[in-house]
Amino acid sequence: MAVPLSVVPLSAQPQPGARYPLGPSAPSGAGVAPYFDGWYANPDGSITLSYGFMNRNASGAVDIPIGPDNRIEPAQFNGLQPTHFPVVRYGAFGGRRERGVFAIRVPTGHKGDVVWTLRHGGVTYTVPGRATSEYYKLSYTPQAAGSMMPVVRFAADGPASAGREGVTTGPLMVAMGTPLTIRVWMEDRGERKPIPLNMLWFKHQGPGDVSFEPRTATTAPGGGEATTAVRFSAPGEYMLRVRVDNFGITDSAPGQQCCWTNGYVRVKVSG
Amino acid sequence: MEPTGPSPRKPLPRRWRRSLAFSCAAALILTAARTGTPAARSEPGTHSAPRRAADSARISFTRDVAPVLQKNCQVCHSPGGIGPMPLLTYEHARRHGPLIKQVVQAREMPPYQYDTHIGIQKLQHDWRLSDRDIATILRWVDEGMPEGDPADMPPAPKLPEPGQYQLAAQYGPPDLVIKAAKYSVPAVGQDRWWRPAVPSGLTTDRCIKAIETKPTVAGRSVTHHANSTFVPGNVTTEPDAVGGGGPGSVRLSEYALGKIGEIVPADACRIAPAGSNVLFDIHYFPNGKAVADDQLEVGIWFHGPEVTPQTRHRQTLGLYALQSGSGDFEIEPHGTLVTQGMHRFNTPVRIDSWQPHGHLRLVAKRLEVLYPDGRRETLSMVSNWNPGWHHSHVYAEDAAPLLPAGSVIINTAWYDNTDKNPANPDPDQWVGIGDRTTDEMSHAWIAVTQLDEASYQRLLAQRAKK
Repeated sequence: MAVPLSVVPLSAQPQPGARYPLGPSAPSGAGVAPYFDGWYANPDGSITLSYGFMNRNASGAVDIPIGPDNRIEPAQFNGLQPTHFPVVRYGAFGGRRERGVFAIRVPTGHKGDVVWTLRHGGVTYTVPGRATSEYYKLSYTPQAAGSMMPVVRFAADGPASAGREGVTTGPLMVAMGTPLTIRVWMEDRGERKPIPLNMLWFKHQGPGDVSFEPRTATTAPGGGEATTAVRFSAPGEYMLRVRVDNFGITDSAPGQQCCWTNGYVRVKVSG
Repeated sequence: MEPTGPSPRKPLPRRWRRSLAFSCAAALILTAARTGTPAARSEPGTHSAPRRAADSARISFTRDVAPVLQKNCQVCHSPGGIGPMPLLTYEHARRHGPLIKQVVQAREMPPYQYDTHIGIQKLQHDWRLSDRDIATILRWVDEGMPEGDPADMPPAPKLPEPGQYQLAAQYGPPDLVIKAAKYSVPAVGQDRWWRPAVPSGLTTDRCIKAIETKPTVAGRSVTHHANSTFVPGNVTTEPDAVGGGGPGSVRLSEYALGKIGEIVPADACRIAPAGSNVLFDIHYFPNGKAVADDQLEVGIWFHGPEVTPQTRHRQTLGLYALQSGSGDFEIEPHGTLVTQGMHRFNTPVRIDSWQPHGHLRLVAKRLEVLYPDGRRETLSMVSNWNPGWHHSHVYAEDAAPLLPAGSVIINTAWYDNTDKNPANPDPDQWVGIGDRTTDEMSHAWIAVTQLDEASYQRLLAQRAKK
């Protein structure tokens, strides 16, 4: 089922002075472009909209707290988007985009776009999520060599999810400077011989710096579990994202929009 | 030096777009390869065939227009062809006369996008209509589309069977056919990449004369591209197999929507190594109709055994991209963009062919050369890019540019993410580099013959004599 098209707000139009044709990336001070990566049709008639971003700076992460400068409209969908935007670079045709960072489930019958707005460096960028074009349609089905989005859990027998919407746990409580141990269970669902999975942690939201030890891990073929110690530099409310993927095999890469699953951990850090 | 941009893209008429391009919601503008005998096509600006002077009498379909359609259009516009309507008879042509006039005048049909007054014009397998043929069609429509004397109607040509190798008309059946493992493309869903490796069966190194990648008839409309690479024989089809381009690999070919094939000049060798496997990289794009057990194949024509890598110049097909690898470009909603990628050749080379690559927001591309003495020359330009037809523009052997060591090629691309671009699925979106059809790419596939200084000077001297 398609979400009907609506009028794009004026803020979606290009901003004066915001173009960089033939120009190199700015070292810093440039904005962050929100990307709509595509949509999934769910069996219950709802639609899942997937979003990513590109930090247009050559280096240096950008932080934009949720609020007027980082908002999703309609407001009922606001709050899942990242506030921390690192510079990334993927090989081949992956480019500098971080894809599928979060997803929003739009219920059956919802009318209109779901628009993400980011304002930074003097420019405002928006992007509408919508299920109007087959070109932007994504699917849950196995890829050409059988890859599928892995299963992620935060407890051996806890809730599981596979896909961009992911599974969320927390809030967990920890004091600033004290390591928080998080375990992740990962399971390859590919319809082929089992392969190892990769785990990678990101700061998704929060006021301070976050360090992960280790930030990455690779499982045995078929999956496994991994433990990470997380430290926070400032008190406040955080959301962490773990991406579990099988990148590197023939039918799975960031640029191909397959195959990874997000997991989110809410954390409250006391001073 | 600021390059001159392409002229704005003229959108196809709505009904043409609807019938050709978007009859299936997920299809690209023109989603199938064309069969035929392009070698028989006329060169632009030349007379395509001897016939009575059209301006000495009232123009007619049977005498003047039918030969043009037979030679240039019917291979697609016939029952079972990929054209949306047949153009075999007077009634067929009369019914669509004004539309034919429009698309021919705009050089949107035949679908061979290559500028007529910029750069090298001597091409092999050139589908463009001559100025005279275009004038004939325009005059016929303007004069009321008269039928003329049925006795003037030329005999119907023998059209190739669907699925036939197009280069077979020139070279006969391929010497070697390498078939990818079968894959069933679902009716719907996101882009998919199928990367099987199969043994080449080659026991000795061979020199390739021509290559054609051929999707199945059913698979043509869902095959976005199909790359093929010779890889060492230990590369398998296991899911954890490495991608192409690894140590010991040699590019075989690249196919994208609409492409015919590649022809290697007689003095060059594109090597097919013994003991190799062929690793395919097939990008499928489901378009609403499932294709079961699709099996793409590559046909290869070899030079005779007397031609060896040691007796010919080495030719390679390469992907020439932006300088920073795949590039960092992005296109804003309702925005436009220009990118440029450059490559310096450290030895003399000959550019044998140029194949622009891009997706739905690309609207124009140009290939230039900056010579060591500072001169800058446009080699080729496409101002009206059509994502449904990725032609490899093969330069005629006496026109292929010879570049001295130190030359730099400049590949410029123009993108239009506005609603003025009829191929744009959603101008409100940001567009960046990526594998999917909705993403963009900036590179060109270029076949280059490597020369040493003596060979370069000899070829220059041969050209000078002519």
